[in-house]
Amino acid sequence: MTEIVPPLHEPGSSDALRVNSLSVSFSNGRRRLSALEDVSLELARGESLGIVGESGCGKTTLARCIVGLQRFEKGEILIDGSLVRRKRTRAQRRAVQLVFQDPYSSLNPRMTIGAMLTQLLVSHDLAHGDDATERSRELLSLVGLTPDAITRYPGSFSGGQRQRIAIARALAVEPHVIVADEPVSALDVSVQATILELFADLRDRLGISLVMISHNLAAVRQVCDRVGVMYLGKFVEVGATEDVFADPRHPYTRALLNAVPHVRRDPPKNRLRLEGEPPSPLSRPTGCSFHPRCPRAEARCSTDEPKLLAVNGLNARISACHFRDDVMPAELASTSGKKE
Amino acid sequence: MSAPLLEVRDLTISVMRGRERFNAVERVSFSLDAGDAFGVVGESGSGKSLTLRAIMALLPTGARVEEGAVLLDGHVLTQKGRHARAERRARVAMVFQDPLSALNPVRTIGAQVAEVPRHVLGRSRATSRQRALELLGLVGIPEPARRAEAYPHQLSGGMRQRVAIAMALASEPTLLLCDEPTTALDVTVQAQVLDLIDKLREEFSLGVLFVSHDLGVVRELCQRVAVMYTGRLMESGLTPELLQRPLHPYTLGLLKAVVDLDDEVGAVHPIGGSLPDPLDLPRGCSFHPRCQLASAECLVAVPPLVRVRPPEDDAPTTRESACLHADLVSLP
Repeated sequence: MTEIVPPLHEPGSSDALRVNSLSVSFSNGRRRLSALEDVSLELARGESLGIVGESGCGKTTLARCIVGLQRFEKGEILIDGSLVRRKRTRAQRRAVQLVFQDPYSSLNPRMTIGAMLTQLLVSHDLAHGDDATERSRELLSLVGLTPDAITRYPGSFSGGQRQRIAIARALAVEPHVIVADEPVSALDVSVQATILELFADLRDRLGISLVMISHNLAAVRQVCDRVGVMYLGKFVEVGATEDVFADPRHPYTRALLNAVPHVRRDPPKNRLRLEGEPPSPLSRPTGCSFHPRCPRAEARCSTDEPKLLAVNGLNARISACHFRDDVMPAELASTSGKKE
Repeated sequence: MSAPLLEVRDLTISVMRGRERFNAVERVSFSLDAGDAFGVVGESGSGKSLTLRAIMALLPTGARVEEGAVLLDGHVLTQKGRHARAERRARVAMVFQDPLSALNPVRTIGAQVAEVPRHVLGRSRATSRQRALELLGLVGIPEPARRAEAYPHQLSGGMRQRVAIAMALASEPTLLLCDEPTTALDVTVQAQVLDLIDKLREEFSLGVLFVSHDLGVVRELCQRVAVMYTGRLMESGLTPELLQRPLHPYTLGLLKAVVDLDDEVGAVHPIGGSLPDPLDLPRGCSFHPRCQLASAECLVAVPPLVRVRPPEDDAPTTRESACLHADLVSLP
């Protein structure tokens, strides 16, 4: 089934990244599960997109496809308007860079930071000799580290500092898009904020586009202009972050928001609690794949699969719910626990 | 007044790093009543998990209790050896962060939950089996009789954590220790597990000691909370009060640094400086190098955790703070 995705931005050369109806499935020899089904997205230059959802929803698979770590069987990816073939061109590889979740395992412990960065600059023919060293220092100060870090090994840095180094490494090849897969999940709460600030700063200062994969809705809200909510390998809602969080038009988005614990106010009473866990992609429910857990579900939800369509009256918002045009009823919209 | 369910008195735990031994937990005291949930929050390395493990007599190799005592119902518990664990058995139970490594991969979950009734409580085979099914039902495993035949790898993370909780409850403990039991779970499943722990606390009047780095989770579950930094308690009090009106600069810093869904975009402010080296803690208050309120007297001695009340409040208080300038701490 092909879904009609109304473009949120005019397609064309302004997109740093475009993904058109991407499908990925995995097989263990006996059974096949589809990890991504007909997923499309576009990312303008300097724009940041958050992708949220529970584990197993396909968000990491999508990230891996975008950076070229995962083959896909259907669909296409365009980087800066040029179609990605099976083997990416050098320019395409440079244009998209990945920042991993765990800065403890993504850096080579036996290489100084300087050696790591200069090697990268030299191999991409961006700088040589003293220029490469100089550029390495620049990169480190760009991410808020002192330039003397080039002589040290990853082991002597804290988690937050290591994540900065990983970001400097991604920036070294001057990418247009950075894909960050759970970039703050492995960090202490007091450090997460600094890394999120750094991403926002890089987006604003360097005009880099950002795809941030996270299960942390608050983190996505701090950094991302737009957010896409995934469930069982598909987007169920996409829109501007502030709008989606303030007035979700898919019950799953509402349920995710309701489940987030708040630090500064008491938990709301009678909020919507999702029962059960996401079904296995091996046995996808018929109709809307969310209907077995959905408080809003009616008979037709179990037979007709809702398409990802524009929500009436809301700017640039798409939702895959039959009731996307209705404002969520009170029992679904009860995140407004009042301060005491 | 009767003794509290759990009392931790001046607990000091040392660990080895390389060839040097240092105190990772220092003079920590708190108490917990039956039916109460008490949260301990802190960043990694703050000593919160070690405290929990000392209560369970499950300290890792190289760590040892230097000083202090753990009292259960007013009786001092032994700290070391086989005897220590026997004393706790059937009274204290623990739930860990990662349920997959807490469960035996080659035994069915029904058999694992039945182990405690069978071998610890000495019930018959049939009774133990029956009890296991009851417990699985209690923690919200659908169709317990069928699911009891499943192996841990066949269950999702949330279900595994429920099984781990069922095993913990099998001994009918009075105290449940939780070491970040929801950190590895998705938010929707985390919410379910928190609801479950809260329900069990109420139903069985369980004392719950909950260690977490997540202030939001603690606010959902715990009536009281203590904040830990570099192995010391910085402040404690009723959870909503403490989070609304912190009386220690570290708590204030942590609150400002936390990324919350309610916050304005760009409104987060990290704590300046970095965690001190535990082998070389700053003199006096260990937070002083990062603290804006620090004065000369903060360097003189480690400030004790003492009762304080917010300046504008005359009501009796249960708030404690280890800041000499607790009255000056304020939200901007």
